[in-house]
Amino acid sequence: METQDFSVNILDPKKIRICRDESGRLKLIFDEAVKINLKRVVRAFPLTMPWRYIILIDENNREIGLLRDIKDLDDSSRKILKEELEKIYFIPKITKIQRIKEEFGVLIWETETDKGPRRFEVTSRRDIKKIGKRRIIIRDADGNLYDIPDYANLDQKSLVLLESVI
Amino acid sequence: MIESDDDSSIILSNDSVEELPESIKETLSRMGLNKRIRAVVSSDITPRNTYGKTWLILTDEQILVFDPEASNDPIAKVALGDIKDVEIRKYVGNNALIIKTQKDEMEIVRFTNTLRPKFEDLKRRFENLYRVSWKWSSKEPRIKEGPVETQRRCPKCGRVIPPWMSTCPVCMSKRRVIFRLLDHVKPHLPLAIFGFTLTVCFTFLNLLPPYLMKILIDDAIGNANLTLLLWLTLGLVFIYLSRALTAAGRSYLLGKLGQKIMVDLRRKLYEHLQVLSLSFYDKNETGRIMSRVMSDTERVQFFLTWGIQQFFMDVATLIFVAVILFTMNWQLALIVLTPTPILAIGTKIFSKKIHGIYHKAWRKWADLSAILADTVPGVTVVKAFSQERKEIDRFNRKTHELYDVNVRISFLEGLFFPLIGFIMTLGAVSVWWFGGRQILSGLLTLGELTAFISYTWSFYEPVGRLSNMSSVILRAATSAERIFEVLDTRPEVHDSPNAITLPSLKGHIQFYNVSFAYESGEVVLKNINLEIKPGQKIGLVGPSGAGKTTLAKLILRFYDPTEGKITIDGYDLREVKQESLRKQIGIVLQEPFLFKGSIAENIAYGNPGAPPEKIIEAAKAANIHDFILSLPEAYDTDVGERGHRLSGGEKQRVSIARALLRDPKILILDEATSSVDTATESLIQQALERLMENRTSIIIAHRLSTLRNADKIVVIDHGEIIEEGTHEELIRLGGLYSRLCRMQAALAVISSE
Repeated sequence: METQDFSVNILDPKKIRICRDESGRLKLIFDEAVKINLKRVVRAFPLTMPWRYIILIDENNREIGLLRDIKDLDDSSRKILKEELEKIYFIPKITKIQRIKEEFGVLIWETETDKGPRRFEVTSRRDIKKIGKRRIIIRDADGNLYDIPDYANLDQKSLVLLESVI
Repeated sequence: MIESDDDSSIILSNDSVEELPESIKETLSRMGLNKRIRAVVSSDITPRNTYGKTWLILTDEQILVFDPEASNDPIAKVALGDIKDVEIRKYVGNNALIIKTQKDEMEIVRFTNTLRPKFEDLKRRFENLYRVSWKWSSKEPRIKEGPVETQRRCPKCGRVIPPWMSTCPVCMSKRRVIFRLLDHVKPHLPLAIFGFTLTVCFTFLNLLPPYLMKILIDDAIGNANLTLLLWLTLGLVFIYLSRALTAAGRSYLLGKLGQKIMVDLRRKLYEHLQVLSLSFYDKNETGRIMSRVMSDTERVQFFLTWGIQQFFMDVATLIFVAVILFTMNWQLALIVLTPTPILAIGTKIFSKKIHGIYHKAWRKWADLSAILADTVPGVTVVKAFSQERKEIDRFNRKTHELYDVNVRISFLEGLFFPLIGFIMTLGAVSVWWFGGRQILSGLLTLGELTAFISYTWSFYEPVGRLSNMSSVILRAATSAERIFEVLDTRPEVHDSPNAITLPSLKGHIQFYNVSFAYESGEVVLKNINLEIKPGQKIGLVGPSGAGKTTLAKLILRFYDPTEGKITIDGYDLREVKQESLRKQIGIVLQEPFLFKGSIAENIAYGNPGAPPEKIIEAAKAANIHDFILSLPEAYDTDVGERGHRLSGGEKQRVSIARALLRDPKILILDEATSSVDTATESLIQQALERLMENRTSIIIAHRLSTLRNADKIVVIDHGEIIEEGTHEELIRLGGLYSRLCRMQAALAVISSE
């Protein structure tokens, strides 16, 4: 156990680069000199600001620092980081709702997502969470997440189905 | 497809063999591997980060990964000999299976949480095989077989079982549940029969007046018979009076029956809840449990009394009236019957629709009260951050949502009931038309027609109610299920039939190879061997989540160890009566729990009937006496719900007094001083020192200064004992304990500056 440090180390996007090694792990390069293996990249605000405030964690579970916005990175680093984040946070976006059936209080959703068709069950209406004005995040019975970034953009039928459960 | 030699039985099970797509099968047979497959598992996320199957194939020598949509050849290969470890890493909304080799680690497949149990199982089976082959020569699997259940699905139909149900609602037998419910009427059978008889009388009395009306119009008025008129009028008065009396009696009897059933059910439930082990409470939310005791019993009793009676009454009325209508005039009876299907179907559709909206209104209402429950107690925070405006807006928004739903309900109800009324009138009016014509042609009397119209109305009424019956039964069955689920849960920790009563203890505690995992499969303690001699003070130290509190809970036998055993004075805890054990253990928790009642009652909670001087003595020893006396009502001061009228340190000292009064042989202090300020801490510390005299004490502490006087300090990390010894010994050792000590010393310097 080390002494805790409460200050936040904000990383300068101009001074860092992110790449992958041969086995696909992420590496952070400081000033083209110091190389650090990354164990994880974590979103501080995964739902509200998915591409901002990314925290980098090294192999010893130590926090290296905080990246304010991935768009400040160079193209290749940004691409790699984005790819990694999209992998770690697998939150498909629902593009169309085919059907929502209610069976004994369990909602069975049949949807199209940007990752392909998906059928899932929601056991509590509290798991359909409204974020901001028009964003909806759904957590299914197994703990998987789904995102509707702006429900006003859904087609009429999906919208009617969604309205019936919120 | 699989050869079953002796080793393979460890990894193979039916569910680790899935049907492979043809393309992969071909590749495998081309590679000459099709005969040596040990497990086939599919995931539901592709390497391209979309939904889709990726196949993981385990052969004798290697792990192969296939992405059939992208390529017929394996996209990854790992030789089993290179594998050092397998890990399932939890991401957000998905997981990855990580394979670690000597030099590297790689993510070989990802899957959603839905498949997590399957992969956990695979990992465990794989580890068994791997350990058997490379690490140990012993063939005995070290980890117990069987998948870990992370979420509940019906084994029959694969549906998710709602968390509030024990069995799948589709596969559950409604009839069985309803019959089991009826069992609860049995003890009150005379009351039920009497009530039922009155119901039948009431139905019958309801049917008489129209008939008398017919005689009145045709014979008394038509024939100008004054005597008959008088008798009939008196008769009607008598019938209406009896009907009123029957109704009153019925209400009373059924109400009484209902309350009796409810009292029974609630008592049974509550008794059972008190018997159940802590693991039941780990699994079920407090709110859910409360609603079972309160609203589910209410709903069930309503069904058992009014629901069933109403059902029989409606059926009886329907049949009686139908018979009367058809015997009086079958042509007219047919006309009466015509709108019935419309009524039945209409009511059914309406109640289904309105049920959803009622539910929505209920949810909105719950939202509204949730805001209140949130912000009223949290008003200090709201004001401190000057968020009043925001809270008002939030409340207004929710109020408006509720308004919208309620307006919708008013609209639908306003539309439906008059509409149904209109359809009924239509039936009645048709009877007037056709009946009127029959009167004109002399086939029918005016009295008969009047009676007929009356019966028509009493025919329509039950039709609507009965068509809605199935949903009433369904709701009652669901509630009953929830109640029975609790009643059917067997406490996991229970006294064995030949459990002995513990004699007065010396307090010699021994852990033999104790391991413990919560039901979720999360291993909390691993191979704990520990001896605590009578009268010793033992400090338990370690990071949060290391398993310290769990260890203490095992001594109290809130749970049984998964492996190994715990003895006190040589008695295995599994073989003693729980009550006789807990009576001799005192516990002071980090967050003391006080019950509604006075301070004295709270101190005497474990010893009801303790003499007042003993209570005062305990309070003095706990350093709370002076404070109590400064209160206007002293020991009779009401602490409020959960003791909210006392400060944290005060509550803590009350709970120490409670433990002192019990005079336990073994004492467990679970971070008893961590949530109070330094001045209070020293007060509590003094009290604790007094409490620990001559007792076996187990002290869980973050503030290591409290452990200076401990006879032995045990450092736990990740469920294992990593250091053991006195303060000085551990400092000299220079391990985790000494590091923690240095840190706290540094913090102390900072805070004193």
